[in-house]
Amino acid sequence: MDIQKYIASGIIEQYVLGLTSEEEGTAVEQAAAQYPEIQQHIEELRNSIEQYALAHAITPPSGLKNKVLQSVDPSRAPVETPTIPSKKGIPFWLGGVLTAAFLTAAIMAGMFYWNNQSQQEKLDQLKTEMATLQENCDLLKNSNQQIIAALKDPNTKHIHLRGTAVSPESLVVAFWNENDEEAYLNVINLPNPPEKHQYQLWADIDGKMVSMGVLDLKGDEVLSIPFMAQAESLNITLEPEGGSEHPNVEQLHVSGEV
Amino acid sequence: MYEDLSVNNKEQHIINLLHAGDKKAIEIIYDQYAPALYGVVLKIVQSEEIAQDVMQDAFVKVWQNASHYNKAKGSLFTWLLNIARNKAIDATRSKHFKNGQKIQSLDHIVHTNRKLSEETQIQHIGLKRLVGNLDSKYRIVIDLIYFKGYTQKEVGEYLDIPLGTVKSRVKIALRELRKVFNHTKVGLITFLLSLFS
Repeated sequence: MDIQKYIASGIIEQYVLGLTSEEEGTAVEQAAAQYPEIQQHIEELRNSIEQYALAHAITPPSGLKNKVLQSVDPSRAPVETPTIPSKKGIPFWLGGVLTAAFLTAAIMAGMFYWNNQSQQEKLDQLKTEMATLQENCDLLKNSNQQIIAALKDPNTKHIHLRGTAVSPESLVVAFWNENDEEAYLNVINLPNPPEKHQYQLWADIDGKMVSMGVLDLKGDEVLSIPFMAQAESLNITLEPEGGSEHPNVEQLHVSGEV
Repeated sequence: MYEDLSVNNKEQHIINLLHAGDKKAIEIIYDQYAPALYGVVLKIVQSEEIAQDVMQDAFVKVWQNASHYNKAKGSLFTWLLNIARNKAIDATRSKHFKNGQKIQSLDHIVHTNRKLSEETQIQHIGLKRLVGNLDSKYRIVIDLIYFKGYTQKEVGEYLDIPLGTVKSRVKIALRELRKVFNHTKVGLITFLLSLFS
């Protein structure tokens, strides 16, 4: 008999899975008894199937042992199997549960921490913003109080800077307080300066035009301007952006005597 | 090979008790093999309740047939597996089972392995991976025959493949398992290599 050919035929695989007829089975058993190689092949295949079955092993519920023992021996008294897990250590499934629980807790703690950190950052940011706003608010309040105080002061002079031929509709009012040496400018009407141009304020002192600065017009807020005691008149000209050293008299828009 | 010897000794001890009609054998068998038998039964019947009934029936049959066990026809484990497997397959074919069984995926059954030693557990994780590595077209043939009790003809009809193909797949499947389980190291290396090829 050609043993290799017999093994290769697949009949042994059929036999170990219980798929052969009784006759075929007996033939395989006889061949196995005669040839150790065939016997070994059978054993290896059986072992494979056992291992395959073992790979699916699952612990039965704890109460099953008693039921099984009682069904084999009905006279046997039921014994309560302790449900307390083995004292040898934590059962592996519980270990898994604990590990999972620990990991979850750790991850959540991490998330809380991270979350807390980012919340803290946000809070700090908001605090800074809040402080800035508060500061701006105080500054605004102070300057408004100053302006209101100046306006209420009976010593404050109202100087009307009226439009020239260039800009007859224009009107600017200056508040001039010689006691406190304070001055403010309220632009009531001035045409929007063309692009790259700005209005510049001049004081006429002894026939000379002295710059008091360029006007940064933003809406209708009251501007604080320098107080110049010797100023005889206040004049506003249109100048190139950034202002000029000498006024462009042709572009004198408003003027008023102090 | 101290390990093998002790396993053989233990098996022989159980066989002696069985042949002597000592009911202690059943308890030892239960402690030794219950998780493996229960796993197979549960895979077949897919219901913990039915699986427990099947286990009781199987152990009764083990006890009743104790004197028939013949070592020459395979190991004690193979014999026990076949009894449990046949009882489970019988259960799936009963009218009661067909009426009452809910369709349930095996994946939903929690796998716990407390009774087995730590060593075998670790081994099993490896085994499951190796088994998982077996081409599904071979695995399904083995599972239908071994866990569902299908005949090869039924497998052929079920998968719509010729009987000859079923037989050759049975052969290849078992050889692959043999490679995996009897030469675990070689199997592992092949498996690892297959990851990089």
